[in-house]
Amino acid sequence: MATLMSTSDSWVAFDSGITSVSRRHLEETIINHALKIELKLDWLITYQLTSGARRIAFTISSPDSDKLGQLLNDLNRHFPNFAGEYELGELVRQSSTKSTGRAVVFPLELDISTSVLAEELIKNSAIDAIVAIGEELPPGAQIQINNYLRPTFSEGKLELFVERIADGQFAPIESESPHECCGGHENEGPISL
Amino acid sequence: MCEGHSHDHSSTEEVSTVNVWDDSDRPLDDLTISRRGLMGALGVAAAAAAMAPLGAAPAGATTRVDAHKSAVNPWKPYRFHLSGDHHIHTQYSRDAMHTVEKQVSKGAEYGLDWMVITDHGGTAHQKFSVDLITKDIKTARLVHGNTAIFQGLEWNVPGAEHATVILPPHTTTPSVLKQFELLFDGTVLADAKKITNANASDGEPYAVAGLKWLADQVKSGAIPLALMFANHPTRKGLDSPAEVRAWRDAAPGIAMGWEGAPGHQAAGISTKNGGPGSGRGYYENAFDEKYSYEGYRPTATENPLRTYGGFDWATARVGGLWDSLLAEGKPWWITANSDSHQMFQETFVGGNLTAAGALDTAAYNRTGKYANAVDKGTPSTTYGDYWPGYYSRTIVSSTSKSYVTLMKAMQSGLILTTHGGIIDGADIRITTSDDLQGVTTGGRTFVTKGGTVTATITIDLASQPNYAGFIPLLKKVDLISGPITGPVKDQQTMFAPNTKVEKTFEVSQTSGQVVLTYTYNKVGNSFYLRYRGSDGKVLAANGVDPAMDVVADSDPWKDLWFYSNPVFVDAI
Repeated sequence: MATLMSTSDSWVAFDSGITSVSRRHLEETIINHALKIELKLDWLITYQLTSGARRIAFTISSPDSDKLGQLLNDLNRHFPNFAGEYELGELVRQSSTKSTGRAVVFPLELDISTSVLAEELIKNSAIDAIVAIGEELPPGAQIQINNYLRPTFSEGKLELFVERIADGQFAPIESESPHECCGGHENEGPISL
Repeated sequence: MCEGHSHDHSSTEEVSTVNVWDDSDRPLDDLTISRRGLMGALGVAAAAAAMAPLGAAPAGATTRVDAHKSAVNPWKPYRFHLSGDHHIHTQYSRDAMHTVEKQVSKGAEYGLDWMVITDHGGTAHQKFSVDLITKDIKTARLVHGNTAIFQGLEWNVPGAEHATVILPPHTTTPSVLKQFELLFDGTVLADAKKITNANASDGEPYAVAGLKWLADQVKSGAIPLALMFANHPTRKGLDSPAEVRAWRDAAPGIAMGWEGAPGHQAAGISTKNGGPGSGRGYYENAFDEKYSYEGYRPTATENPLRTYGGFDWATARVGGLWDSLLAEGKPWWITANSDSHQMFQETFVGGNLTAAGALDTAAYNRTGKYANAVDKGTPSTTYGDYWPGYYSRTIVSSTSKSYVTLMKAMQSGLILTTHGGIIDGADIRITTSDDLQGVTTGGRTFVTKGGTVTATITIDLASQPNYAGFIPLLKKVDLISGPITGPVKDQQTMFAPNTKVEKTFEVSQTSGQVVLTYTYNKVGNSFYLRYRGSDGKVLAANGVDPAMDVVADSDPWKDLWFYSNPVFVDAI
């Protein structure tokens, strides 16, 4: 059941367990519910848990610890928790030390509806570095973002992996709507908590 | 262009005399490898031995993984090099639209000798489609007597990606397929609430159980033979190395390999050039913490969830996952297919559409079938596939035009894969100072330590324009080899660090036949070798390897490769 972490007052972690809800819809579930209860999210980070069945866990940070606790309780009513306190505590430690994880919500003050200069993105967000896979990112590179960013932590840095696309531009390797082959295996939407 | 092509040029005329595929039910002892108890611990060696002509080393001698003195898949001038495709969808898939007849006639038009119809598994498919398509396939066999049409399934492997399941024509084929799908398809299991969903890891035991079940059907004689090839293995990072090894080891002789190259090769064509502007092969996904295997997480240097030169990363990366499997000395073969659903710039749309213009899956779910596709006269800019045979080919060397013999050849690794007609064909012959006849792909030979191994590939260069209208030029061929180190302790092992490009041959000849020879001297340890070749137009920074395909801007006709399957050499 619910496991409120003690390593930081402003962080909680939860294990979504074995669920048919997709990663994207889990993320939307959390964000939608935070909006509903008027909780300001500073960070929302995803992790992979491999103890037992492969599954996804989240850490969440907010200055409002009361509402954060409410969010966690609401989540845990819907998603059975498999991970133990130690495991979840380790996730919080990794989040607070920026060691691993994938950021869904993070500090950002920039219009990312289209393309931005790589330098601008670093200057106006928590992203520390932009890494082009297999090559050096050229100076002045344009990153085509389309309102969707999922940078990842690595050794204390928040990095955005990008790849070359058409017309000399770059784009994050994670896009919001990749081709859904075969009609998809997960058709359920976000959960209303 | 490879239809009926023979490398024994003197016997070309013989080929045209055989124009109808043999689908007769033969005595099972002639068909069923497992029944003969040959599979043992080492599936392929035994399987390949069963392919060997009379007088070859007895198969029973080849049941050890370590060095042994026997030859499997002895080299010979195979009469039939049969181009095919084991991944084709029809109106019986919830995301496809063409009739069986249309797909088969197009595949035949584009030079295919055999095809496997592989509609997606699912509740409606299991309930309705299998019976319906059985009739369509039987009709197509009558219409297309020169083409083998296998009835198969694209299996939602529980806890993993998809896989082709191939069965030969037999009275039990539809019932075996239906039962298999009911018991072991990930989507069917998820609909029945037996597993969380098709991709969730709680389904993994069902995958292994399903393969064992197929093996049991063969062993019991219920079906002559069954094969499984995993499809688009690292598209989403779902097929972990341990899962792949579990499939292989659970059902040697059934689970034989994967798509070295996925279909959907037109998906990376840019919107500017009339394409969908997606990832080549629709490889454009991100690592997913819910399902992807941790080892496939992208790094600053590579992204396993992208194609490289049109091939899946697991195959394209030298010293990568495929090589780590081969380094165990066990079989794992590659193929190349179309995965054809909806074709690049074709003018047809589905027969049942929603108001928004999408395929109406609700209609499909009611009947397991869409109405026939309709020609709207306007080329689509969102479809990313090619017709069967148009771009991707799995060329199988077979001793006869019989369904089961072809499957046994696939089981034995007598397979070459090509894109865009880069070559007409290739004959690979590996001889040693102890085995002068030598062996070919999927085979296993031996050499006394200190002896020599001679690798020869004879390539028939492209002799006619491909379907993009030009004659491709082969520019280079890589000979890749690595030590056989035996079974791994860690089932998640995904690299073979000592496998490398042994030799790169530059090819300047533009037509005819090219013979490339390389000699390994003073051989001290067992090893395997394989080939790949390229038009040299798109290479990685090292000038040797394929480059990561650019999402939304990959012209598949400007980056052509062929890949062979391996040969194992035991140093004794």
